[in-house]
Amino acid sequence: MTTRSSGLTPQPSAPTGSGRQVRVECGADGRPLGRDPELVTLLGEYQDAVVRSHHLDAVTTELVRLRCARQHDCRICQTLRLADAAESGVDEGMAGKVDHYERSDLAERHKVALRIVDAFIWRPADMSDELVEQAHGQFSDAELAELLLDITKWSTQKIHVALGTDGADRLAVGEAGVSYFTFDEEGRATGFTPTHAPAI
Amino acid sequence: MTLEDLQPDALAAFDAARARAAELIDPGLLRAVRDRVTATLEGTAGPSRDYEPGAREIDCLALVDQMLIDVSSMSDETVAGANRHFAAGGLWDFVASAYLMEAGIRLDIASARLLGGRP
Repeated sequence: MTTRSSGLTPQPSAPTGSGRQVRVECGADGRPLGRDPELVTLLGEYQDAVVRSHHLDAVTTELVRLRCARQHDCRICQTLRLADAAESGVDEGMAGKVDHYERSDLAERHKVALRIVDAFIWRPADMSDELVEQAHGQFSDAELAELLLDITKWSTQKIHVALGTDGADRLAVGEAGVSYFTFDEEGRATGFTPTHAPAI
Repeated sequence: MTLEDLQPDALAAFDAARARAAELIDPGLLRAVRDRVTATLEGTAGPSRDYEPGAREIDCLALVDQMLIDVSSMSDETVAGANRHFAAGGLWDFVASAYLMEAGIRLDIASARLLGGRP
């Protein structure tokens, strides 16, 4: 087994620009061929249902999404930015802080959210009593439930990373090298655009 | 309130996806995946087995191990090793099913810590 470091230890940052190859046969649309259509649909419906929940603010949601993307080194997820979060103030400077969030000036609420992400991604059984207390100090139960499900939704990226189908080459990116998107009322990703004009 | 109380629709959709995965993947292989994921995430020894694992289980669990620990360091060889046991498209189904298994176990552990667990 290959690891970037020993054991189940949170990594401060994940490499970008991985040269991993596509490891399964894909169609012209870049999607793997021969998948069970029912499983594809049900997995999509699960993700849509998670996204339709709106207890968390857009900034927290985006920082959690980006932390998952960085920890798993998902190329496409690292290239994407939630337009709603950008409108709420998540710029590239803030996005970059997720890698070293403990030493950053991110709000304590956001740091707690990212600690939960790390615990969930590495070893949830090791979640400390201190972190549980911090979590309840910063978030309601409804927000925590959404946060946990968000992590599982964003972490479906592991399927793509494992199979090398996480390439971002099909995304049109702007000068910052990112592409903005949003979710429609059904919870589906839409509106991909290389530029984003914040609503001022 | 439990996770199920707070997010019934999402969890119902999650369980539906897991049920489909259970229909697609050989029960013995899926059981081996569950045991490996549980043992790894809870830091416990896996259940004792009364059989020697075959090449399919060994190759597939190698992929599962790498997904659990550091998916970004997955090698072409690890994926190819698992892929040789599936027909076209079958590897994606297996990887997605393994992910759903992993996510469910992580969710159970984390929600128990933060919200009191799923009923």
